[in-house]
Amino acid sequence: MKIVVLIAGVHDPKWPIDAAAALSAPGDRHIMSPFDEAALEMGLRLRDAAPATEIAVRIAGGEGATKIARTVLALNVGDVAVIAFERAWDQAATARALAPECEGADLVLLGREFGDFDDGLVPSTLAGLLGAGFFARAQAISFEDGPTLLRETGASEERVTLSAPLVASVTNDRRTRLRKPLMKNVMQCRAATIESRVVAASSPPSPLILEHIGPAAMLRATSAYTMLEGAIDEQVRALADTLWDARA
Amino acid sequence: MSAWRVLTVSCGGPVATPLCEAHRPLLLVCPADATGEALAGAVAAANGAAIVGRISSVERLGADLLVSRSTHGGRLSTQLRLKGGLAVATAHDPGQVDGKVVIGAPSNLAIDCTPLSEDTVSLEVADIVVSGGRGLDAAGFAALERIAHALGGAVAASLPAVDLGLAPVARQVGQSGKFVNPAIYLAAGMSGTLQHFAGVGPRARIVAVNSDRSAPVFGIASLGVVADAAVLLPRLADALEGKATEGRHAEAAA
Repeated sequence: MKIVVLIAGVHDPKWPIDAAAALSAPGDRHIMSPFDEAALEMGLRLRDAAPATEIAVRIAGGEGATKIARTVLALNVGDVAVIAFERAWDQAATARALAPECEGADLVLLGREFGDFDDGLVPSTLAGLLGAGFFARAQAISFEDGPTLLRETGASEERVTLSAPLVASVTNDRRTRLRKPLMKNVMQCRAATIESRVVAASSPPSPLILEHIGPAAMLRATSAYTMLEGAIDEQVRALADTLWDARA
Repeated sequence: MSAWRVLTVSCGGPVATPLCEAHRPLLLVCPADATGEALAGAVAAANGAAIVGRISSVERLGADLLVSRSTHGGRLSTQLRLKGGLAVATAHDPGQVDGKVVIGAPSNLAIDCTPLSEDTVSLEVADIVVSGGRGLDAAGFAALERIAHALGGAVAASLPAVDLGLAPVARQVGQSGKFVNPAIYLAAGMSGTLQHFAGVGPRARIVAVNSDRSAPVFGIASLGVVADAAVLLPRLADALEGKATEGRHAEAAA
């Protein structure tokens, strides 16, 4: 089986962000999202179960993604490259630029959101471009009856057996927390050369223009705020009355 | 005069259908859920459409269409101008549109479904949602379950709490989780990030419980309690279960 894992990276949420930072090379504040980590761990588990599995990892963010690339190398993935997009804010262009990176893959794994500019449409578009099946928001992998991806929808558990070419977007789940690399591997990968290239979408000029990017407005007003003071029993009583009265 | 038409999309039929070239400029707005995202991507791929993501507003500007959306976990706001052609979007609330269209299901993937024995209220329709963050532990979430049961509400969680295994991802609310719009949203043991509250609709009255008086969540709450959730939540569950029992006795006596 040939697996391609696509890692988007996000701007570290611990740091403030502005328009310039959002559109420039992300540098050392570019980290893997929980979704990226889960997608990578899923690929590693498939390799654990079948050592002949080939894994290629492509990491968005250009030169700024080198730190992530070294982490991936330290997990014993040999085929690692960082890629940069000309229009990272354009989800369709991103999907089209990713498609050639996935040619020949039996399975493409990527986070349910491909980076800060995506809200879930890059994975499904990529599946369409590749003519592959699409399994959204995979949470875990099982090997009981052959490799099977699992997800819960709230009302049911859904499973898909890996067979035909498939794109799976992966969401965070405690069962797919990313493993830690061995320290000796981390040290060995510090000086490794990482392939880096710009990938362009092979499509006509887009009718889409980035008009503006800036700080988001506050979502909610902060007026009419009440703090329940007093001893814990008084707080509990007042809160219980409020919630009880609010029932439909 | 703008020639743009904005249509909401619902999913139906066996396959994603290529759309007629004549019907442009056209923005198709799919539901902002897993099915809608899959459909939007399939339509975009099949038709070479532009993608404008999960939009919050649409404005006609001359011959163009200006759409707004948030990025970077809700921390930045982005405006995109569409010059023509076909575009796809998702939205929780598409607002006023020009009509509706049904488009074929995006995938014929063979998926095995096993119903889960869940007797709780669905998160999306609950009128009261009690939600926990990484400030809670397993006992805290157990107390939230009791509170939700007593109120006829649903339990939710933040992404970090889900990552810690305190709740299943199906209960995750936020920019990267579900969107809810209850009457009351009890937020316990969470700091109050934009990313989380991007998943809570404007109707919700936020009730915050946090031991840190300076937590940002108090800045968006209409009612706040500075308290150790590990102490407060079990007592709150006791109090609400007492009210529920009283209510049942009163009904039986009536």
